[in-house]
Amino acid sequence: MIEHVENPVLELHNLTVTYDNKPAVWNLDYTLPAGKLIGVIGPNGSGKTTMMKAIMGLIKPSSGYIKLFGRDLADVRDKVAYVPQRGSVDWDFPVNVYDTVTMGRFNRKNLFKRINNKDKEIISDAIKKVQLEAFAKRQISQLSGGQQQRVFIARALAQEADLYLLDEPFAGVDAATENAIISLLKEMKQQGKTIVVVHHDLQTASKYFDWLVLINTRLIASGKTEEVFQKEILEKTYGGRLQILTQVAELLKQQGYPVREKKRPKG
Amino acid sequence: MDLFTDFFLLKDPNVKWVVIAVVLMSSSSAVIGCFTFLRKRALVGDAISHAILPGICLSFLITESKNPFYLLVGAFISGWIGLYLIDYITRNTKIKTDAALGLILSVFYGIGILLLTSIQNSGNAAQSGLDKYLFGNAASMMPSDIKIFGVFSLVLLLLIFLFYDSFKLITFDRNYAAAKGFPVKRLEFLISILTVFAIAVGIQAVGVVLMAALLITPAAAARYWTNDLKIMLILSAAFATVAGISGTFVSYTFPKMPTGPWIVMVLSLLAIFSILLGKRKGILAKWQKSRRVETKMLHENILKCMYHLGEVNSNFLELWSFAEMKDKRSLSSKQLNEGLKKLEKNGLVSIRGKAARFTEKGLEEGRRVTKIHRLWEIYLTKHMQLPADHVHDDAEAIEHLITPEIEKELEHQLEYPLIDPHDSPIPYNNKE
Amino acid sequence: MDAFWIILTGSLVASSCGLLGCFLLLRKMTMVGDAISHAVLPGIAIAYLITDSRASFPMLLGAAIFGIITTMLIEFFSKLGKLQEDAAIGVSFTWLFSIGVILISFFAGQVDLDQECVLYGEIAYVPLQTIILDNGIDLGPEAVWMLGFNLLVVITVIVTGYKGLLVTSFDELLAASLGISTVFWHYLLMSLVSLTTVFSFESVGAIMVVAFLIGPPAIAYLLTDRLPRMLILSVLAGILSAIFGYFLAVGINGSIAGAMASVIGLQFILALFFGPKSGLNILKSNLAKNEKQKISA
Repeated sequence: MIEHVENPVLELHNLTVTYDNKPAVWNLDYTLPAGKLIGVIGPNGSGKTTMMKAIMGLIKPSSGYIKLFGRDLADVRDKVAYVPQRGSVDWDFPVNVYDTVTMGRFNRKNLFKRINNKDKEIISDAIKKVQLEAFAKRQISQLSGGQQQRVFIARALAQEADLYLLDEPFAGVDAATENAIISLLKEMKQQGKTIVVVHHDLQTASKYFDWLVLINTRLIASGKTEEVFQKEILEKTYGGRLQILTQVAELLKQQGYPVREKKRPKG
Repeated sequence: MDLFTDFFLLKDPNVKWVVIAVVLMSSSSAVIGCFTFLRKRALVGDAISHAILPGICLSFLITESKNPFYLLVGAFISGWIGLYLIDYITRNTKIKTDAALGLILSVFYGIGILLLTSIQNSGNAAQSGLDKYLFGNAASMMPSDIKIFGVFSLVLLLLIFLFYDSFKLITFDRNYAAAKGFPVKRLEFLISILTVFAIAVGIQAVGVVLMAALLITPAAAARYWTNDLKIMLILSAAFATVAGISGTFVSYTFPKMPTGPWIVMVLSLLAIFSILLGKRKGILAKWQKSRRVETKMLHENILKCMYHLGEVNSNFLELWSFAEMKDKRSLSSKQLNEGLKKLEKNGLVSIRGKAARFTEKGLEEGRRVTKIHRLWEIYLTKHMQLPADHVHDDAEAIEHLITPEIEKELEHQLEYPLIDPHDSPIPYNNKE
Repeated sequence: MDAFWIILTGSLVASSCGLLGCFLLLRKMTMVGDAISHAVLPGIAIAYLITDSRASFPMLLGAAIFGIITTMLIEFFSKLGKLQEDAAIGVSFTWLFSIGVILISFFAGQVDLDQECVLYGEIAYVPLQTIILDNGIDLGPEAVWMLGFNLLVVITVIVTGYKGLLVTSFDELLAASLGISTVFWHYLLMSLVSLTTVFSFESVGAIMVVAFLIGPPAIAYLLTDRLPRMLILSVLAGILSAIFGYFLAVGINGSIAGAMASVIGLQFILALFFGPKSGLNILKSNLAKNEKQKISA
């Protein structure tokens, strides 16, 4: 059950990413529509984070390619914002909420320039949107898990992107914050942004998202929530690995075979 | 040459004892170092060896003697305090392990240097020789020291031998050990004590700064040869022995050469040698493996190419010219020549001038690879939801990897399909 | 006057190291700094043997080359040899350091550069080597000028590259996703550390460099939770230890570098127990926790 779209915001073409020669995601091939709130669903270790990192160019794929807005990442970097998992940074770092959100305004061009007034406005705005004005001067380890997550989202908001990729924004977050974040994301969608969220809670998935991508190392389904949120597909997603795939992945790692043969130009 | 024979025949009784002591000291450090290494605490060893210096100086100041026993006690205490502080800082403040290590290392060392220089400048005649702790000079050890250090090292080795099984368990699976009711905390404490002890003894041979090498380097080198902890400990001790003897020999031959740096030098060369040539995950071993894989892939690709050529007219035993093969599949002349020659040697093809044909065995092999390729393509369209035009590249790689068991499983799960996603037939063996 | 020059030299080293060390500490890379500071020894020895002098430029070059070799060797062991990172660091720097000691011992007769000096430097001799112009004007010790220049470079890079250093230290994933090269900033920082080590080596020795790279930043880290303040406090802590260290050394007639490191330890203990934000201030941290709970509730 894979639904392809015209003029996709994001296109994955046969994407395979390996760690230690073992595929973490294998031949992902799908397209995503614009202006939707999209959930990426799959069990633990199914390669969701790996896929997000590959989309952001943080890991090199072993094969396949990714197109954002029909182009390479390097051409459209300003239009994409990424929110890593909360655990990926050291929250003891000596910065406060405002400093952290400010980093969302950094880019290659302005790295050696001072933050200007327009940037400052955007930053304050982003902090206001996640309701952290009162905490702007607080060091980031002095925040609750939900507040920390909101700081990360504010930082992404400050990037003023068109496509947002969020990795597990609801992990370790209380219900009130989760609701606040989801209504913020819906509001962003109203403004025509596309939001892709890695999520692991099936209960809420059908409620939150317009579109679902289900993966378990391989792609199980991609399509409108009402069409793919079915028992059979979910069972396939959470029903454990395919034995043959697991065996072949293990062989790849042990024997050091390439996942793709070296291409030689024909002739 | 005389020097050489004198040294290695251990003619000089003094030399004999020095060599024995150095070998014992370095191999006991190397053995306990394996646990340090495997528990990923290599740099803790570095910090402790620096932290030992003030203890040595203080115990000299207090006892006014260079009796190695007192110095060892001092060294042990200050090493232990250093270790405790590292633990305390990382647990109770936001400072992370690396900075805690660096801080303890440099501050304790600084205190040690301050005391050492202060003692030296005080004009106390008895102090001369304290500074050998900085770089170690085993060759000039007193006979009485030698005995003490030798005995301590032996005790250390004996303790490791006695507790081997428990140490092994907490190193590889701490949680399991705890679940099984092992006194994990106490055993870890014992490992720490032994480590501090080994360091306090070992700095006699190599000195404070290079002590870390005696713990880390032999273990790292040994790791490239084996997965078995017992063999790793023995190898590590062997490397340390070789290095210990070489270092002492150099010092013996050139008295102005310090022992420690030479021991470390030899150890490092052994480690580099192991990294390059080690059979477990050495660079050469890895390279050979990838070569083997490449060759296997080339052979199978040639066979498959010949099978495809045969498929056109269902004449599989025809003679195909090299040109025809290259036309079918992009292979360089060199690859084709070398590959076919090897295949002929293995009895899979026979070459006639600039052409080749299958033997029965070769045909079977070509058929098998082709079959796996096509089965995998079906598998991908079914289970990875890939469109038919996306599956070829993946199958090109995976076909070389599938074992007969997986092949059977594929056939079974796909229910013995007849055609692949591109409508090519799946070539089953007649017997199937 | 000698005291002034020695303290000034110590302070200059402390300032450069204190600034760079903050970033090393936040990147959890302090042990790489430690490794580099030891491993430049063979470079210095070789430069010394070839040019037969303590001329600064060849030494700088030699040490810089070995600074780079160290990072490459660590990469070689950990990436190509798949050795765990901590062991890769340990194996690399001990090997290079032993090469350095062997070289020095080998040429001990011809070289007036001994092993001890490598470790704890000769800051006491700094005032003796002064730059005197043709017209006889004494410009002060050479080391002060060199270290001053080094500090200027460090400050310039940190001020202009503050944003790059900040974002790559805090969140590599964000930095990379913004298209900011993490590799570039990593190597920039490492080259500055090498440069500073080289400039400081002769006057304060390897261990002092490590102490100044790690100690003052750790103290500052306990005292504040804003990066700009941490940088300033780190420099201050370093300068304080240079001053008090000097007088301590004079007091008990010992190594100045060793004394400065000891004072760093003392300051750290003070920060640990009496610092406003130290995790140890149990009462305060409990209060903070309660407050946190109130907020999240």
